[in-house]
Amino acid sequence: MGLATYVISRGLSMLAVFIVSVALFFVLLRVVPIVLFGGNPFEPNQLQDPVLAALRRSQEDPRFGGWIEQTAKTFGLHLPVLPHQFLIYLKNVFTFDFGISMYSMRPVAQEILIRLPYTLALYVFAVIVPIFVGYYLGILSAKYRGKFMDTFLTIASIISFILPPWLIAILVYYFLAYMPKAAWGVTIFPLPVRTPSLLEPSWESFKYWLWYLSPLYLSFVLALFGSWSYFFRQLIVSELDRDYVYTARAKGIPENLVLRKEITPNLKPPIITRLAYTIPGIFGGSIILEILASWPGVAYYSYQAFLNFDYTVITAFLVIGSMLLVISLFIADLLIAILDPRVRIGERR
Amino acid sequence: MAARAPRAVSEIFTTILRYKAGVAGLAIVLFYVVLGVIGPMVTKYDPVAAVGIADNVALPEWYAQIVDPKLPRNMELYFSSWRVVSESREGDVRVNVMSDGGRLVILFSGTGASNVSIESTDLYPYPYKPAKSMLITYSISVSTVDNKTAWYNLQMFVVNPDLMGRNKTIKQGDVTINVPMGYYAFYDEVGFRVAAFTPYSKDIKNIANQSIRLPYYIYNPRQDYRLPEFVNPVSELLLDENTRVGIKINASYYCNPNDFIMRCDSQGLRIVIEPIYMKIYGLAFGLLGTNYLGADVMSQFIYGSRSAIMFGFGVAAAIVAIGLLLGVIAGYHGGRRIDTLLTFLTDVVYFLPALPLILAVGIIFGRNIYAIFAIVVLLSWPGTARLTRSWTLALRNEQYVEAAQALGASTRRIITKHIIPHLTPLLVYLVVLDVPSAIFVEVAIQLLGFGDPGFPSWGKMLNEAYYGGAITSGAWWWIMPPIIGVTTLALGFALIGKALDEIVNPRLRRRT
Repeated sequence: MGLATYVISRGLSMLAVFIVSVALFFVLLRVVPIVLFGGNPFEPNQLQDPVLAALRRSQEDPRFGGWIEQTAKTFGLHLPVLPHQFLIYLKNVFTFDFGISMYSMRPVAQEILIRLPYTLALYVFAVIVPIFVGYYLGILSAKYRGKFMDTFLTIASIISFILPPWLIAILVYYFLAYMPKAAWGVTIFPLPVRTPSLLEPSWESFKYWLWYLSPLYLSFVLALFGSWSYFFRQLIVSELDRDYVYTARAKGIPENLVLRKEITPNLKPPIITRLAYTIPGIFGGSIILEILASWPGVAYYSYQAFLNFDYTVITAFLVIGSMLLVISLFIADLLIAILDPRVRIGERR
Repeated sequence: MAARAPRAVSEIFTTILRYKAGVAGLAIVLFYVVLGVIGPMVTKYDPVAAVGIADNVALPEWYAQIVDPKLPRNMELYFSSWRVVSESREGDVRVNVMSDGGRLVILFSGTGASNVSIESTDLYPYPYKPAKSMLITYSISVSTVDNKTAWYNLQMFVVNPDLMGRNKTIKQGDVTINVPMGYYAFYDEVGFRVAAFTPYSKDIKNIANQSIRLPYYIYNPRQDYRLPEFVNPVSELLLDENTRVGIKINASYYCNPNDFIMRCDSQGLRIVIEPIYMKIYGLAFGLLGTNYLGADVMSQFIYGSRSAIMFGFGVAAAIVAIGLLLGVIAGYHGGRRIDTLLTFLTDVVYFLPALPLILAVGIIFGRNIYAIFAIVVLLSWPGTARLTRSWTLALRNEQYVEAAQALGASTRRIITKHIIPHLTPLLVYLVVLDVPSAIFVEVAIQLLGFGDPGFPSWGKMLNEAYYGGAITSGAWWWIMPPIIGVTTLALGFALIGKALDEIVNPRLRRRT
């Protein structure tokens, strides 16, 4: 099986997975509520349709004039839910037309773009820094394997691995934000009270921004370094008695260089696979932390949309999240197939 | 082959017990299991409904012993014996005060005006620092002897005879007021009516077990001073260290047949007051104090361990069951159409964004623990299915499976007798890994406020503590127990998992 065949077959199966997930979202968000309230999704203009009900409520307000017709047209709301609205929905998904937020009446894409910088500021750091921390600690742990340093790092990694970031964030808020202030009058980190805004960028507001984010950064690093460092350690240790390592040692290459230059390149495929699962989290991976810290990112916005049952925003959030995951896994498969020819020749994983 | 599964289980236990980490993890998990099992026997309070056990955010008792031994504890007082302090009469009125079996009966008869003042003979010593709130429960019934109209007023006070006569100076802006200490009305028949301009009422009352929690701020025109809202009458005016607490009752009666405005045609009035119950809320309580509603944190913690164990094991067992079924079928038929179909299904569920979907289900189906359980299980099985599929793929080519196939054994028999027993260690390992993540998911859902409000769990505690101001009030005894509970339980499972690593990944055994 050549690379092109492999890529095409992977791409097609990913596309199928994506379409089925997107259909599931439609069933859950659109069909199930109508059926639950006792309506019939195969007939138009169901009284039990929560989206139509929201629309009817806004119809009485003169400010919403052209908006209602536009929304009704975008989603085909005057047609039966199944199958007409479903087909319109599929068309919208593939043309990236997510319509208008039922709550704020602004385009969903615009609402998400406003909030994207906040989420990126939080999540890019949260993904990248723990990898480096984990890589160096993993190498350290593998180098001193069996010694005290290794045991200590392994225990630290396990504790960090089992603690989710939001739990650490609560601890950080208690022990590093509240307690120093209450006990000694020292302010280290802020409590999540006054959310910073990006609207007027200035040096002062940027500093406050960083300061506000620092407890979240800290909790992300503390929570995520463990799994990376344990992962790197296990990978490196499992490579250690391969022939090429013996050869490198026999050539007299120092242990440090063996670990960095000889073994690290062989770790690429598993790292890429792990990253592929992490990166789509840009959209919703930090949802709990954003909610806890009232950080006005995309995930926090989606949380508010869930509370208001803002159908268009929920759909956009789920669809984009799913799309990112599928695309990044596809790219990861592609990269691994290029890096490691065994994958595309042998049976699928 | 049938003996394989039990032997595998005992082998798993010996492996766990061979490692210090495994023993520690098993001990932690067993501790929480035992705590959850004996939970209902050792806790006195309902974890969801029992609120107001002590004052809000009360310290743990042992911690109070260290920090401030004089902090108030819960006190329950009953007032049931009475004596008349003073009595005044105008006209042809007779007053008869009877106290039988704790019940106080005041009987006015005739026409004219009268005022009688009664005090409880039990004055309870109060040894602590001032408490912040108290609860008073009373039952009153007022009726005329002949079902006609009479005018009366009834006032009930909490009194502290040791503080009476003193004044408290309170500054409110530029105004300074002097408030008399030692008494505070918790019941005033007329005074509580905002628009009252006569000092009497003619309502016939029948109040049973009415409770009032002081401080209860109400505009009270009959009180001879206006108390600013930031002044707590219980701690500022009523209680002090080494004083005594009692109850005082004032009853007045007016019936003048010649009065045109306040007409009266009755021959008498009877006021019956049942024994009065008073609870002074302690600021130090129990092993872990109380939360913002005055609920016992210890009971919540114990019930939380019960819920965590139940939910965690339930979800893990369901995940592993579904994953095992689909994974084994897919793996055994590897490469055929049924495998392709099941793998596709697994992929679809694997790629669904879990937490947003859980929130969506919470919004659509309501905040129900069974819905949460179902959706968590439905979204989490693909990992297990993938693993079991790849293990079954490897086992399928073993010689004993081929031998069984050659002997004509049915697919079901091969799967149940030859493949699943070999997967047992893997399944135990997967359960051990799935339990803590299921617990964390439940805690996270509860923390976001999408959990079942009637399900006493650590997540609910954490949600209440985080959004109820445990951090800003420094109530570590309220926010730390759920965090410590969920962390140590997860640590226990992780340690067991680390000990089991060696069975599942034999490659690791040779190297350390």
